[in-house]
Amino acid sequence: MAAKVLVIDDEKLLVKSTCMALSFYGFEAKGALDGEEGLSAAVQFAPKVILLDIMMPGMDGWQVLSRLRAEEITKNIPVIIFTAKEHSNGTSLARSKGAVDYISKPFEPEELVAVLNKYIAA
Amino acid sequence: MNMNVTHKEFEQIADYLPVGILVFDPGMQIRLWNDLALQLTGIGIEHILSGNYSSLLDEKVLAMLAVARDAEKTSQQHLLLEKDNRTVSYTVKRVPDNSDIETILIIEDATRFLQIERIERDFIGTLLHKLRGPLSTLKTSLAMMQGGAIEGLAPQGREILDMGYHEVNRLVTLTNDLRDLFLIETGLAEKDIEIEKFNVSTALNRAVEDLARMPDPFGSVRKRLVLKSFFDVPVETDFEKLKKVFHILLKNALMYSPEKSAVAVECCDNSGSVDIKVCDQGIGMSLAGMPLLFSKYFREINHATRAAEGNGLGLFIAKSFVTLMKGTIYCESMQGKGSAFLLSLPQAWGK
Repeated sequence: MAAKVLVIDDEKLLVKSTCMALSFYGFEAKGALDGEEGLSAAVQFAPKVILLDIMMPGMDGWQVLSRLRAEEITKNIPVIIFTAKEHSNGTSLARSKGAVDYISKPFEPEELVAVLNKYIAA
Repeated sequence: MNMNVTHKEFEQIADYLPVGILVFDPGMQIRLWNDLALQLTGIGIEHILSGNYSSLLDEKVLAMLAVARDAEKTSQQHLLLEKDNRTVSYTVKRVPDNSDIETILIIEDATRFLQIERIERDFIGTLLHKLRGPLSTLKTSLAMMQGGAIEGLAPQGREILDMGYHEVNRLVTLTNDLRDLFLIETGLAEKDIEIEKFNVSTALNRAVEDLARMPDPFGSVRKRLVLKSFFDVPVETDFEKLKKVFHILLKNALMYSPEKSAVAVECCDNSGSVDIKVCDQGIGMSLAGMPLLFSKYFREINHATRAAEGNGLGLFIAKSFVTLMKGTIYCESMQGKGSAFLLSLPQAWGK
């Protein structure tokens, strides 16, 4: 069965193209265009992994992340954040905020798939 | 010719100046002034004549004047103050060895200038950030097609696709370089420094991973990279900036040297500093080009560089980042033989 991935980002076409690329690589992808939509999709769609943008109008990515962590049903879903900045310990920074990993925009689909597979196999 | 400017002559000239000027004598009485200075401070002739101007100047400006008065030598101090939605710049200068004039206060309304600077900064910052969204979409879409998402594409279609993919990657590089340039030129890069402890190889490997995903000549980086006397030293510095410096140096080395030639990277611990060397067997630099190597937008024009793509920002960014990391970078090069970039960074931050 294809692994489910939820993409939360306010860039409509970025969400669409990322979802298309993910289905091309054999995932079942769903997009959400803001924090609220993302939170309800996280419950209903029950993704294996969530990709989350930080800079969004209204509820930003950090707020979404803390709400996901607070809910019993979503608290264990691995979240990968989209950031512009990179760190040698990007993973540990993402972890300190409650996410599992990060990827910086613009990314190659292969790069994204490699990061996703780390958390889907686990 | 009498070179002494009279009081009256000075006043005539001073009223044409775009800045306000107040000139003080050793007793801190105002001896010379122009209209703009009176407008900007609210000081009137009556205050000057009575010597009671201090209530009209901000305490911080008075403090600068006192420092200048007590200074032994020439000095210059500067201050920006916000008042009634305006930003006023105050510069105090101490003039040496003049019996009449000792201190000069230059007052300038910087409101408009700072406003324009803020608008410019916001505009460019937002533009560079906002470009990432559509660029990401384009890159993902074209990469998908390149990866075979559409079957039965005619050869001409493939050619058009290759062009699009190539150009989107150029745009991504340009956007990233312009963002770095923006951070350097606005001084934000300095505030952006984040110190971490990591091994030099971590930053090098991350730069190699990024290049390996790009088309040739960069994609073959793993085949061409030779780690010669590479001692993996721990370093305390800004990871992202060191990674970018490696990215720039490796990219240039791969681009300006023969297809399968080796690019060697050396690293060693040199009592307190980390010394890194990136060498290629490429076209090298001309003697005339060497002094301009790290200048913004500089590119040596010859047959080989014309074919290679570049925006002339790489080495300027590399040099600026190395300076921010309190290190040094220089180049040894011989035309037709190759270039070597030598990089030295303090091993521990703040030492």
